[in-house]
Amino acid sequence: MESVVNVQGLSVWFGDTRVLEDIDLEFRQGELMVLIGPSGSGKSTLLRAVNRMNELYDGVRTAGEVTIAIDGRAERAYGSGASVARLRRTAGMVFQNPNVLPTSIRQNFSIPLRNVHGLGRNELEACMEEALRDVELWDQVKDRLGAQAQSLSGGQQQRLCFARALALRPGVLLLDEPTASLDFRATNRIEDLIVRLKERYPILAVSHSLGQASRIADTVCVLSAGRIVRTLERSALQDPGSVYRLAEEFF
Amino acid sequence: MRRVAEILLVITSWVSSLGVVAVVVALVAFLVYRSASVLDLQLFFGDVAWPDAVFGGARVLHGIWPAIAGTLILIAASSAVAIPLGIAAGVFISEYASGRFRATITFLVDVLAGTPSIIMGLFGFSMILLLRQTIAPDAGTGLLVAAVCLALLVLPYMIRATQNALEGLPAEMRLLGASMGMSHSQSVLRILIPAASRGILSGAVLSLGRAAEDTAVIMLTGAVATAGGRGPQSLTDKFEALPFKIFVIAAEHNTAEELSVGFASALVLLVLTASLFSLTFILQRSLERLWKA
Amino acid sequence: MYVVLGTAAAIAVAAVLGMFAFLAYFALPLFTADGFARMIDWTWRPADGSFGILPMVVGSLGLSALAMAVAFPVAVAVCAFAFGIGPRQPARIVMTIVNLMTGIPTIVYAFAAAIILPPLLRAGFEGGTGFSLLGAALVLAVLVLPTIVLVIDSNWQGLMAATRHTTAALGMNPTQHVLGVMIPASRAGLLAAFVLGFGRALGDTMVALMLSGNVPLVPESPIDSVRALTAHISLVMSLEVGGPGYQSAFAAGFILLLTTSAISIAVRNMGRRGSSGA
Repeated sequence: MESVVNVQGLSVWFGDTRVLEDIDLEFRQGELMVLIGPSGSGKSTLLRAVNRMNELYDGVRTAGEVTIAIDGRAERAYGSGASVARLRRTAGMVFQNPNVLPTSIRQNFSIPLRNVHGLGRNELEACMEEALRDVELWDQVKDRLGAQAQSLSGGQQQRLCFARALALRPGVLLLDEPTASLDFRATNRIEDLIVRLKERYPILAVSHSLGQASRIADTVCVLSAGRIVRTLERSALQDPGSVYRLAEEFF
Repeated sequence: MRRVAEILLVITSWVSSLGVVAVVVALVAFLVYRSASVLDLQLFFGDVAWPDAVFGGARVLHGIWPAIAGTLILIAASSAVAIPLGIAAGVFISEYASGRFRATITFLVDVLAGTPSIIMGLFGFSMILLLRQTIAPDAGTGLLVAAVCLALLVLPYMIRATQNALEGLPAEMRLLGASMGMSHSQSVLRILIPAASRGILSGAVLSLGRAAEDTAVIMLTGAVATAGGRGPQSLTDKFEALPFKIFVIAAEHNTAEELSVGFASALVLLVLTASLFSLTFILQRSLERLWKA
Repeated sequence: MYVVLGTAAAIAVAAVLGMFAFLAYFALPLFTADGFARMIDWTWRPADGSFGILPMVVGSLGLSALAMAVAFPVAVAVCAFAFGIGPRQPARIVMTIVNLMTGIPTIVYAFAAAIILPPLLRAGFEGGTGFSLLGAALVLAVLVLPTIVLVIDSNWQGLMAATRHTTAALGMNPTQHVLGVMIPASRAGLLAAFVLGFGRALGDTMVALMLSGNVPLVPESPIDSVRALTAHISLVMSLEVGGPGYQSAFAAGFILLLTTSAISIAVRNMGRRGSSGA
């Protein structure tokens, strides 16, 4: 299978602190890869290095190369002349806390769709409906699209964020602990959604939970102190003993 | 269409920002340029030796020293009223008042903050008017009236700064006193006020600056063009003040040199207030760092 | 301690209420049927017994409106610059300078402008003295700009922190972020900034007094002279003592006080609605 994201020799510094050291990573079409590790191990930084979100923080420095497939062509994310906006459009991102924009549900779609894809009114409605159906939120919100997005429950807001990312027709999904702020039931629904979505999108996710990783992942990468210390395939994850040993060793 | 709006916003934001910077730079450059020819000790003291003027009470008839002295004394007098009163009221609102009462005071402070300064001047003037009609036929405007009205002008800044400084303290700090068995008043006096002191101080410095620059209040309450070449000698004296001096020169200058003195006075006043405001700014910055660290 | 502090708070309250009471008391003689009719009139000619202050009401509103028409768009544009459109270092410099502007005395602006502007305006427009609605409004715009910018700034900081990463991750650039999210989502804050700026402009005395020409007539063009309520107060107080002209200063003061108080109430209500909605 062809590789969607390819990370080579990636190092990231915040100020003088080296957060990631010499990371190599590759993941392919149809694959759901989960990054786990103790807090401070650099897993979120690695995720954000793919769409260059680290650059929104002060004093960050990146070395190495990330190659990402944009519209079927492999492009260098950090190459000179690379368009950051296009890169971030290609990578649909969902954050730990549901980050709905402080406007109506409809505008959460219309603002990015109009600005990023220049869609007109009719296309926009169709695109929004399709995305909201994808995340099984359409029936709950179709009668109140003008309501404040923040009036939805936490789980609904997070599904709205998934839908918003999907509406932009991403090439890959980047999920930064998408269930960390949700309760048990909402977490289950999001996990089901992720498993369904991986049929259509390659997904790179950060998780805080080893249990979650073993439930949904095709591949698990364990990070510790800025390095990838272990990579496990799905088969290894089905063995409770190995998962337990992993937990003992790293958490 | 959307693209056009974006480009327009980018252009206007650059033009506006550069324009604002240009206005400020041009203003300062213009003040310096137009006052350069008169910027020396003579500007301040005329032919009088400066120690005689500052400490000896010698009369300065050609110089802006009396106006500077007037402004400094005026700031001191109005601060003597506004700062203690403002801190006390701010502490009361933040730590003692509750519910409806607190909302009412805060609201009145907001109204006071939004009141034009000429109204304070009018208020002072009408107080004198009332005194004349009733108990004191000889009452007149002067330093005391001006200082009280200026105090009224800066009082809301002082109250708000105190309130904000106290309400911005970390929540645990409120529990600290109680956990050590202190009464509420002890805790306010020994823990909360000292912890908020830098914020309160920055409010006090801001108040000084506001009192120094105001013209509208003092022009109705006792500022005069010339007051005998000295700062005010008593609380009922009429007085010279730097902002009023500048106003008078704008209206009545006859020669190019008088105009230059006007620009120089404006520059001196600008340096005075700008240093006070910069000090406020630095205090607030250091405060933010203190709680972030 | 409670007594001392409570007394201080009571004095502050009494001062505000006392101010209202004084001005009302002195303006009272005008509010008889006859006095009122004389005051609400379009002619100010004390020598002929005409004491109408409506031209000054129009003058104040016109000055403030024109000043805000310039200052408000510029303030929003400056904030847009500071919140992402400008490069980081220049953005910081611009905000520092705007902060510094709050420390420049009104009289300094007014003095420099009174010397520079009128000759320029006389050269640029045929006729007139150069002391005009337009000149005064431009200087007022500079004067109120920092107020507007700082209110928007405090409103945008939280919003910026909450939405910056989201829109970046969606592939929107900083300009799209300002245009698509910051401005639409902060309508209440922008309105509050506008109203506060308007109140500042309305309450200014020195710029109006030194640049607008102080002619008590309703202006017919931007280069006509006008007289503001604030300037009217200071002119009347310095020119005459006693009589109906004198009382009109108190009427002007009372109108100003009512207007600015209404503005304070409006801003307060906006703030309340804004915080409950978030």
